[in-house]
Amino acid sequence: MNLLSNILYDMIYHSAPLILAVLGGLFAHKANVLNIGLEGMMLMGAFSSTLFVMLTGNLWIGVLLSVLCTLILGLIFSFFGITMKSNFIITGFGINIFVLALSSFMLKYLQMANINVSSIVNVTNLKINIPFIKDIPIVGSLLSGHTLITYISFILILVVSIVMYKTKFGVYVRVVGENEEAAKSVGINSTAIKYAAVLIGAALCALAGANLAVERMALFTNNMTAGRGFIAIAAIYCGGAKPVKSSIYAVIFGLAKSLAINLALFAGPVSGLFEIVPYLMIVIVLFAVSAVESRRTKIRGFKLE
Amino acid sequence: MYAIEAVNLTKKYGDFVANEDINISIVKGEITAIVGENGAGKTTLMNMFFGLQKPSGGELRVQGKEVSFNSSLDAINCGLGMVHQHFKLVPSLTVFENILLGTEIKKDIKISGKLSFKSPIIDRKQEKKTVQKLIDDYKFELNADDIVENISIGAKQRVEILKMLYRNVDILIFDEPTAVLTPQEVDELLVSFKELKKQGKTIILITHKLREVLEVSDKVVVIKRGRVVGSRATKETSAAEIAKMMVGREVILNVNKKEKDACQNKVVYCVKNLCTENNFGKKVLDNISFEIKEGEILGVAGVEGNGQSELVRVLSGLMEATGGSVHLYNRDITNKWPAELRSSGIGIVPEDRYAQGLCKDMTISDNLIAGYHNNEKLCRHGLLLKKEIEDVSDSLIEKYDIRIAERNGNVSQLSGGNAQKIIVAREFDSNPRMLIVSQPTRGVDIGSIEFIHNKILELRDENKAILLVSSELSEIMNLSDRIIVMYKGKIVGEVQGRNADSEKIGLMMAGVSAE
Repeated sequence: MNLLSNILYDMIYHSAPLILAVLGGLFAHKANVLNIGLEGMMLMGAFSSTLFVMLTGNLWIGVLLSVLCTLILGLIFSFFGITMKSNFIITGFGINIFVLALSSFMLKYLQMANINVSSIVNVTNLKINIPFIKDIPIVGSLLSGHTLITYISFILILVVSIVMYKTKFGVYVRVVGENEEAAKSVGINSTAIKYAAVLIGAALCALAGANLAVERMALFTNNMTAGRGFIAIAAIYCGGAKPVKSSIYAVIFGLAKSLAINLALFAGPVSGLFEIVPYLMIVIVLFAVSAVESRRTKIRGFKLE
Repeated sequence: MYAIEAVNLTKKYGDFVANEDINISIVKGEITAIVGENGAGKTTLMNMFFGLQKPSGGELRVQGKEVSFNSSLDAINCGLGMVHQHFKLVPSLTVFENILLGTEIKKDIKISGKLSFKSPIIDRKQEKKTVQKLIDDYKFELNADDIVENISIGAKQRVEILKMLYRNVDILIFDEPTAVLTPQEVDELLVSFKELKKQGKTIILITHKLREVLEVSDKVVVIKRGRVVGSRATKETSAAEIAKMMVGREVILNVNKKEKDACQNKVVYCVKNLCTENNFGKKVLDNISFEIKEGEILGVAGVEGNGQSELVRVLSGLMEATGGSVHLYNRDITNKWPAELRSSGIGIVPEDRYAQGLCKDMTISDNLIAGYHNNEKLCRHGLLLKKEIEDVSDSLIEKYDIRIAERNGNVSQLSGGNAQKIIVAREFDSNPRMLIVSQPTRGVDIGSIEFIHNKILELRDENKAILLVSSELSEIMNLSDRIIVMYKGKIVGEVQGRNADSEKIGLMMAGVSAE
C-alpha cells in the first residue's frame, strides 16, 4: 500500500517538469518551429534559479530572474532560427551545448561540486498540503503535498488548451504552422507569432528547471535535467502536439521514472540498472507510435509535401 | 479615372527582366482579362499590383493616386483583393474561421449595464452568423460551418473570394481561377463574375484559357515575354487572333489525330479491382478496373484530388495497393517497385516533375539516364560509362529538341517545358511496351505542349498502350481513344474519345453518374 502511494506521488512529482516543457514546447511545435533547445532551456532554468537564489537569498526573486535569463536564451534561439533562418536543429543543439558548458564552467569557477541552497530554501515548507484531501488514502498522496509549480503545471494543461483552441493567439499559432502564406496574406505577422511561441516555451522551461532544482531539492548538480527536454519533445510528438494528449504521455514518462526509483529500492546491487527504465520507455513508445504511423501509410520511399 | 493604372511598370531580377515598361489601364466596373503563356510575366505583374513584389521601376496608380505597397495588407486597405491560384487557406479550420482570419470577433464580457470589455476568447457564434450573412448576400453556395479540407475545390475558391469581399475590396484579381475547376464549376464562376460586376466591382482575370476570356471579359490585354503586345476590346477580337498574339505565330488549337480502331487489338495492361487507402484509413482508390489495348490511349479525367494522383502512384510503384491486381501481358506486376516496373517495360512520366521525375541539382545527362542507369550499355561492373552516357544524352537532346545552354548544366536552369521534355525523352525513348503519363504538359509553354502531344500520338501509332492522366480536360479529350472519369476514388463512367462531350464528362466529374 505504502509502495503504491509512493509510486503515485513520485509519478506526479516527476511529471511536473516534463508537463511544463511539453506545454511550452507545444507552441513552437504548432508554429512549425522545431525547438530541440528545450533541454538547454530547462537546464538554464535549473542552473540560473539556483544561482540567483544563492545570490539574492530569496526563492521567488531567484525564480523570476531565471525566467528572464531563459527568455534571453529563447530570444537568441529565435533570432538565429527565425530571423536569420539558420537551421533549427543546429541552433537548438548549440543552445543545449552552450548551457551545459556555461553551467559546468560556472561550477568550476565557483569551485563548487554543486550549488546547494538548502540553507535558504526549506524544501519541506514548500510542499502544500491540501486539507481533507491529504487524509484520503491513495488520492491524498496523489493530489496533496506537492509544490506550487507542480500544481501550476497541471492547471496549465487546461489553460494551454483554452489558449490554443479558443483565442486569437492560438488560432494564429496554428495558422502560421499550417500555412504561413495564408497567415501573411491577411497581415498576420508570422515572425512575431513564432517568436512568441518560442518565448512561451522558454518561460515554461525555466519554470520546469526551477521546479526540478530549487523547489524540489534546493540543489543544482551538473547536467541535472538529464535528457528531460528530449523526453518532452518525444511526448509532444507522440501526443500529436495536442495539450491534453501530450501531457498524458508526459505523465507516462513520469510514471516510468517513478517506477525506476521506487523499484530500485528492492534491487540491491543492480539498482543502478533501473535508471535506464525511463529512457528505455521512450525508445519503446517512440518505436510503437512510429510503427503505427508507418503501418497506416501506403506511400513508399518519398515524403509527401 | 481608372481603377488601376500601370505606367512603365518594370520588374527585374538581376539581369532577368520579368516585366518591362508595362502600361495598362483598368477601367472601373469592367472585367479585364490579362492573357499570356506560362512564364510570360502575368503573375509577376499581378504580384506587383497586390504588393507581394516591389516594382524595380515605373508607377502604379490606384483610383488615380500613386501607391507603393509594402505588403498585401496595404493593397487590401487600398481596396485591392486577390484570389490566388494556389489557395491561401488553412485546411483544418472552418469556412468562417478562414474568412475572418486576421479580423476575429471577440466575445464581450458585460459587467452590469454599461461596463463591458473585450475578452481574449473568440466569439464563434457571432463569427458564424456574420459569415453566413455575407454568403447569403452574395448568393454563394457555401456552408459557414464546414471544415475547409472537406469542401470541394470550387467551394474553396468561393471562400477565397468571400475572404476578399469581407474586407470591402472593390477590385478583385483572379490568378488562373479556372485551372482546377470542372466545366460546370467554371460556368458557375463566370456567373459569379457577372454578378460581382453588377455590384460595381472591378475584376482582373489572369488566364491562358481563351473561352473564358471571350465569354466574360470586356477587354483583353496580351502579355508576351514580359511586355504588353496587344490590347483589344473583347467584342472586336477572336480566339485565333489572341492565340496568335500570345505565341507570335499561328497555332493549331486542335491536335491532328488519326482515328483508328483498337477494339480488336491485344490487351496490354489490365488493372482489376485496385484499392488503396490514405494515412487516415480512407479508401482513396475503390475497385478501379480497366484495360488498355495495343495502340490505345486511355485518358483518366477528373477534378484533382479524386484519386488520380494515388492511381498513378500505385501504378508507378510509389504507393502500395491494399487489394486488386495489375497485369502487363498476363504477367502479375502488382505492387512491384519502380525499377522492376521499368525493366518489365513500363515508362513512367510522373505527376510532379521536380519531386518525382528529375533531380534538380544533377546534370542534364545524369537526368536523361536516371532510372535506366543499370542498362548494360551505360554501366559496366558497377561503373557508369561517361562517354556512352554523353552520347546517349546528346542524341536525346537532339531528337527531342531540348533547348539547353550546356550539357553538363543543372536541370534547375531549364524552363518548365524543357525540363518536362527531359522526362519525356528518357521515358519515351526507352522503348516501353506501356506508358503511364501523368500531367505531361502542366506549366509547359504552348510550343512544348504541341511537341509532347505529337510524341504521345506517335507512340500510340507505334502500337504502344498509354495511360494518360491530366487535369486539363481538353488535353484528355484531344488525345484519348477512350476516357474514364474518376470521382471520389471510383470510376464513375467511361466514354469513347471520338464523340466525347465535355458537358457529359463534366457532370461525371462532379459525381453525377452517366445513367
